[in-house]
Amino acid sequence: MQYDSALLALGSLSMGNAPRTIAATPRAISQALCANESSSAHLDPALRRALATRVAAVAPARSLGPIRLDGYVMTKLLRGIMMKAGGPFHWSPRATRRIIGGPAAHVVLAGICPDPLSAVRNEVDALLSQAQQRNELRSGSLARWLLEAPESLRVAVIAEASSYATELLASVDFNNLDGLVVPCTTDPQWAVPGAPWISLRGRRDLEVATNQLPRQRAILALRTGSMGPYAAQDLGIVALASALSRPDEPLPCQIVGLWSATGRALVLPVHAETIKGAARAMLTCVEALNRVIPHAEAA
Amino acid sequence: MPITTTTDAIATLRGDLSRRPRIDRDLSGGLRAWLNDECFTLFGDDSLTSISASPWNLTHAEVPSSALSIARAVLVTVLFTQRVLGGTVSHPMDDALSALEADVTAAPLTHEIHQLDPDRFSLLAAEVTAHYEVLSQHLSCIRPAWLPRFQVRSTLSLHGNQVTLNATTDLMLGPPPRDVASVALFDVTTAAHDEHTVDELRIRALIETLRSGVQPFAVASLSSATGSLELLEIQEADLVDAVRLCIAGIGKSLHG
Repeated sequence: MQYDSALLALGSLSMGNAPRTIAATPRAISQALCANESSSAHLDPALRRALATRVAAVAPARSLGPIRLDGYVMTKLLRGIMMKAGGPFHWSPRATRRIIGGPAAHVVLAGICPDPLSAVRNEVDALLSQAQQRNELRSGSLARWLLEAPESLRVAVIAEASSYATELLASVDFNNLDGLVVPCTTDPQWAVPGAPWISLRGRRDLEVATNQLPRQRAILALRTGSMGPYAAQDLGIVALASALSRPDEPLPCQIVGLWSATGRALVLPVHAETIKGAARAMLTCVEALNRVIPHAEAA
Repeated sequence: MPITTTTDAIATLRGDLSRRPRIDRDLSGGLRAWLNDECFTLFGDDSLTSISASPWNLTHAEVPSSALSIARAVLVTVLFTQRVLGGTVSHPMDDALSALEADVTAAPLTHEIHQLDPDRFSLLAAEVTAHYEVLSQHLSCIRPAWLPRFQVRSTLSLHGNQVTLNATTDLMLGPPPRDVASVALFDVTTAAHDEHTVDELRIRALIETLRSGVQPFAVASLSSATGSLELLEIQEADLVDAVRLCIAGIGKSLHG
C-alpha cells in the first residue's frame, strides 16, 4: 500500500519548484549556493523502495552489461536519442580531468598549494610514484596508465586537469561563501536493488555545507556545452543520486548548474517534488532502454 | 592597438597592470541587447534560418578545409600546450601525435593522418617541426600563478538560438576579475596574419565579454608560420567595432 501511494506520487516529469537562471558570475554562484531554498526534508523511504521495484521490473537484461545512468545519458534518453553501446573504457586526458583536477582544486582551497597548475603537477607526480613503488598496481589503473604514457601525453593530462581545476576555483567566489566546502572526490552512485547492473550517478563538482541547518548542503555541478531544455532534469538527477546514496542525510537544499561555455547558470531548489520528478525521469529512461533492448529478447 | 614582435609572447600579453581598464558591468548587457536588436532587423519574419559562426569565418572569406591544413593546425596546437607547460619535445610530429591519439574525439583525424601516403606524411611532419621551431622562439614556460587554462570553448546564442557564435581560445590567463579587467586570451594560428586579424581578435574579445559578462584586458594571436604577434589591448571601442563586424558577417551569411 505504501509502495502504491509512492508510485502514484511519482507523477509526471514536472520538477516541482521552478528552477531559475542566475548570472553566471562567481559572486552570484556563491550567493545561490548559500541561499536557504528549502526545508530540511529527508528522502521518503517509500519512494526509494517504489523506484527500486519499478526500475527492477522494467530493467534490460543483465547480460547486456552494466548500465550507468547519469545526467548526460538521461537527458539524451529523455530527448529520444538512444546512446550507442560504448566500447571498453580507455583513459584519455579528458577522462582524467575531474579525477586529477578535483583533488588538486581542494588542495588549493586548503591552502596547501598556491595554484591549480602546481597542485595538478603534484597529483600527477604522486600517481607516478605510486605506480613506480607498487609494481603490483593493477593494469588499467590511472597511475599505471600515466606511468606508461609518453611525456607529451602526461603534459596533455596536466593541461586538461589544471584547466578544470582553475575553472572550478574561478566559478565560485570563495571569500563570499558562507559555508564549508566539502571535497567531492567521487560522484554519488546508487545501484538499483534488484537490478544492481543499473546504477544512477550524479555528476557534481563541489559541495558546500551551508550554515543554515545542520548537515544541509548545496551542490555545484559544472557542465560543458550549452544549457539545453533538459537542464533542470539534469540537475534533478544530481539531487536524486545524492539523496539515494545518502538516505540518512537531509536532501541537498539546491543544485546550482553552471554552463561556463555559454556563461549561463541555473538554480534548482530541491524539495520532495523535485526528487519525485527526477525519479520519474529515471524510470522513463529505463523504460525507454527496455523498449529497445527488451529483457526477454535479450535474455 | 600596438602590434609587437617579441621573444616572450605571453609575458608581453600580460602587459602593464596599471593600463588595464576598470570593469563596466553594464557593458556586456548593452552589447548583447544591441546585437539581438540588429539580428531582429536582419532576420525579420524568418524564424527558421540558423547561423553558426566563428571569429575566423566572420572576418575571412575562406575557411581552411584541406585535411593537411586541419591536421597541421591541430598538431601545432598540441605542441603549443606542450611548450607553455614545459614539456620536452624532441620529435614534434611524434610527440604531438602521441598526445592526440589518446583523445577519442580526435580519432577520425589521427586515422586520416596515419592514412597519408609517406610523402605527404613527411611533408606534414616537416611543416609541424617548422611551426614548432617558431613557437619555441616566441614562447617560454608559463608561470603557474597566471592561472592558465587551455582550449576554453565559448558558445553564444543570440536571437532565440538562431545565431550561434563559437570560439575556442587556446590559452586563457588570469583570475576572475573584480574591479579591473584581469583575463587575457591567447591564440595560435598556423596561418600568416592578414588585414583581418585584428578584427578577428575584436570578435574574440566580444564573445568572451558576452560569455563572462566582463571584458578581457587583452587578446593576442601568434602566427606559428611567421612568428608575428598581434596584440590588442581591449577598449570599449573595440567591442563596439566587434558588434558591427558581427552584424555585417551575419547579414552576409543571411543575404549573401
